[in-house]
Amino acid sequence: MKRLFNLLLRIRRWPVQAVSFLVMNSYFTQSVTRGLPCPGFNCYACPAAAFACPIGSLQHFAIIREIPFYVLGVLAFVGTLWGRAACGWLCPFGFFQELMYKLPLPKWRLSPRLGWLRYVFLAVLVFAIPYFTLEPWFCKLCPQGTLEAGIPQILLLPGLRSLVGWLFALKLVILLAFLAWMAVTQRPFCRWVCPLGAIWSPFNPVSAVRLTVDREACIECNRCQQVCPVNIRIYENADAVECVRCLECIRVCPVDCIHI
Amino acid sequence: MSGNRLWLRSGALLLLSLAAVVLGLMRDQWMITLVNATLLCLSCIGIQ
Repeated sequence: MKRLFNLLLRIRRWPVQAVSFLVMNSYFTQSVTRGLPCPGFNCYACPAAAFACPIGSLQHFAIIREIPFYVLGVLAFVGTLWGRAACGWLCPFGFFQELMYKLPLPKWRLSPRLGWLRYVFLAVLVFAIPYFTLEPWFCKLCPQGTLEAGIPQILLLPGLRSLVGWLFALKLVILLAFLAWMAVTQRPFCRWVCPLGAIWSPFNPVSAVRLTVDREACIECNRCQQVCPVNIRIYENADAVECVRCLECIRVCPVDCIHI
Repeated sequence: MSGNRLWLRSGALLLLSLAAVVLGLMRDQWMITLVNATLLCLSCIGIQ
């Protein structure tokens, strides 16, 4: 595993993210792979989606009132192997947010405070509300669902257009708000909303692959924070639950004090 | 915490997660996930 991450250090991240996006939406493997939750935030209502969205699947199990051993087991397996690295390397929505942040607009560097909101979204919108209302309310509001599934399906299937109502308008407003936020702040969805990130966050301190910082060598130049997509100081806590294991900090460290 | 104990903890978690996957497969949850993901999810699209 360490060898894999050392290899990842030698390559650029965006091609891996682009390939991951294509694999997760490879269409032709749908009949075989759609029963497998993908290691990323990718709507299974997308016409090309090849895997199941883990958050959509969790809501479905809450609705049928069954403990989702299979989905949680897959997510725990991925989290135990490499913590939140899937957020940094594989998640299509994370990739999309990073692309949006490249737009030449003024930027706000917000601190990771209120990151605990992710756990609230997970508990309330993914488990509690679907359990009691029998409706997948996170899916109903999800901006990734609107982007990948809502808009393409409406365009592809004219029959659906007459069914569109206030909920679709609300979804569009949420998507537009996030698009604007993504353009000025790094990965806002990952940092304050994503329930999948909330599931993987506690695995960062216990995963097989972890970062370590040589505190004696660190000069606290903050270059790691400047390139960090979630704006954290990795030298303060190498096991931070916000860290998406993108490894950008290792690449830029002038004294080479961050290790896998 | 020593390296061996860290590996032991990660190994135990991996085994637990694999056990959960096997338990889920025995309860046909792979098929439930497949059917759910294959149906056109109108709520994802935002149609009431």
